[in-house]
Amino acid sequence: MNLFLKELRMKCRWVVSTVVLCSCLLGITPIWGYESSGLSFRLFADQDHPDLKYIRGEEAITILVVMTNDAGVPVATKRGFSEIELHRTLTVTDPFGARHFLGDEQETHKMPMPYFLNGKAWEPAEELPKNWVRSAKIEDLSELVPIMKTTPGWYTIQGLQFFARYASTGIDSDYGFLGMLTHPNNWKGAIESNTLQIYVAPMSGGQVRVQVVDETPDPAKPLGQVPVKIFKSADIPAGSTLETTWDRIPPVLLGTTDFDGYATWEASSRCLVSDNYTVLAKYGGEIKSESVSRTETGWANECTGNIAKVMRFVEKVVEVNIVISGGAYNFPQTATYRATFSMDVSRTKGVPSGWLKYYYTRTRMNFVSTGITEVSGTKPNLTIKGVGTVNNVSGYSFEATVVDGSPDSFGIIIKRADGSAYYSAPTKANSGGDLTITVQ
Amino acid sequence: MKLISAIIIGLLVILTSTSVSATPMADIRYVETELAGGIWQYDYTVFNTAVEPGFDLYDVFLFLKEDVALIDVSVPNGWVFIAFNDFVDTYSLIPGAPPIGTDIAPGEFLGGFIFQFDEKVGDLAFDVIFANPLDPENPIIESGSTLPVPEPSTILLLAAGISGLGFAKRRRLMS
Repeated sequence: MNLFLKELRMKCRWVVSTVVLCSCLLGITPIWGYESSGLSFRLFADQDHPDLKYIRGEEAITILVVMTNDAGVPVATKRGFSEIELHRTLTVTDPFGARHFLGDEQETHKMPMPYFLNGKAWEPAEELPKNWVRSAKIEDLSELVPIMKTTPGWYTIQGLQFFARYASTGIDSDYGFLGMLTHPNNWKGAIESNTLQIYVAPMSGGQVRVQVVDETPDPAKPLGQVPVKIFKSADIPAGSTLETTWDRIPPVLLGTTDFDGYATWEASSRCLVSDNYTVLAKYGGEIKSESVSRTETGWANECTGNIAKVMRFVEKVVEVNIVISGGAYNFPQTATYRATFSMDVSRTKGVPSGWLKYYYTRTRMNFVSTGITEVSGTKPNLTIKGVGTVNNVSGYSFEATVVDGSPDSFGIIIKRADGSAYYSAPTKANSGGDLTITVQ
Repeated sequence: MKLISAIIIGLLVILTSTSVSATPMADIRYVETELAGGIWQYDYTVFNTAVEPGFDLYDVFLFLKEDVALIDVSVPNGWVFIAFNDFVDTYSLIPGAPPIGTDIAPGEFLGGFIFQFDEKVGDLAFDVIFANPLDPENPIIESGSTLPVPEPSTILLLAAGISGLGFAKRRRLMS
């Protein structure tokens, strides 16, 4: 068997040598593509883009890769040039200096059926005639190099000849002919070069400046260390709650507020292209939402716009239930005349209620509350506000101060309907009785 | 000698009547009753012992003992109160003597001040306030102590004693 094969191999070499010799004699001497420097690659790009500037993620970056046989003689290849092969001639260098190679070896292409002798292919896969041209049009280079969709900057695209390989016909069927036949001359208005430099410009967009504040005080107080996320609204499934979105949807920007309440983003690029976004901030277990619309003013070309959003939270005050009760007396004006008072006032879940009585013996002023409107302050100093009657005549309001101390103190101002003071007893120590403030 | 005695008595009467008109006084008497459950009820009657008109009594302030709990308070019509553990201030709402007001006019008295305590309290200190017709902006405050109303048996015993004394004197004179 081995002897037979050895003999067959010798016969093949003889046949090939004879063919080559005959070809030379006939003046159509082909050269092998592997050795040829006559194959050239050129890249064409759409000239309609000034300075080859493409808007990030919006415009297709269309490139035409053309291989030409400039050798002046036919070039014989044992392996043709598929579209994948043409793609493989390209390298793209991104703004950070990283090189990206194109093509995917998993894709397969049909090969022309070669001539087999004893089960072995010996014929060239394709002979590229003189002035042969084959091209492949890449409709959108950014589909093959995804970083171009997201990262603005200068990109260098090069066609590298060494990617033109021989075909191992019949052995490696992954490679073969599948060239595009679009001649560059039909590609009007194109720029031609072996190396193209294009600029991927940011889209119309801007930076979204988010401030988180507590609107309870006046003026509002900035809230620091609050996590903020910006989501593409299209990424949020219909019906999602704020909690679900916050927990499960990947944000396009993630940040934390500084001491001025402004979010600082973790991403290298803080630019958002004009689109619909949802801004979420989480504070005190509560998530608030703000919308950023594609149509709102603030977006600008090349991401030079600015959009400001303020997320307002109401500081949750731990609700304190208060009860003020008891009775006491003091001497508000002189040491002679006594004032007696008693009350049972409470604030439960923020709602004030109860009653207060005050009687000044000297003037026989008998005040009886008809409503409690406010209980404020912190123990031991509380203020009670409300309305009531003086000697059974309505239209008066009051503001009482209660101090639960040793001794207790009490003071009250009673005002007429027009706001003028009708009676005023400064806060003075009590001489008897007991006022108790209970906080729950 | 008789002449000197008459002068002294006259002066005392004058002085006494002057002091009555300038410093009206009140007398507060109570009837003490033990109720079921260890509760003691005190029915107070307030006497305005002033003589001059206009000195209407309108405020009664009782000092309570801190260790005694005030359980219930009831006051006459036209009067209200503010009370806590150690005091009860009860006062008339409408100035003036009846029928216009609800104050206690000089020489008059008013009952119906009923307080209940969780134990026997006995006599209590009080302040009373009178309207001052001579200086309306400065009412008159006087202090005193509540006193129990003498029981009928005591009065009968006293009467019997006095009668006995009279009867004994008469028998002595007759013999």
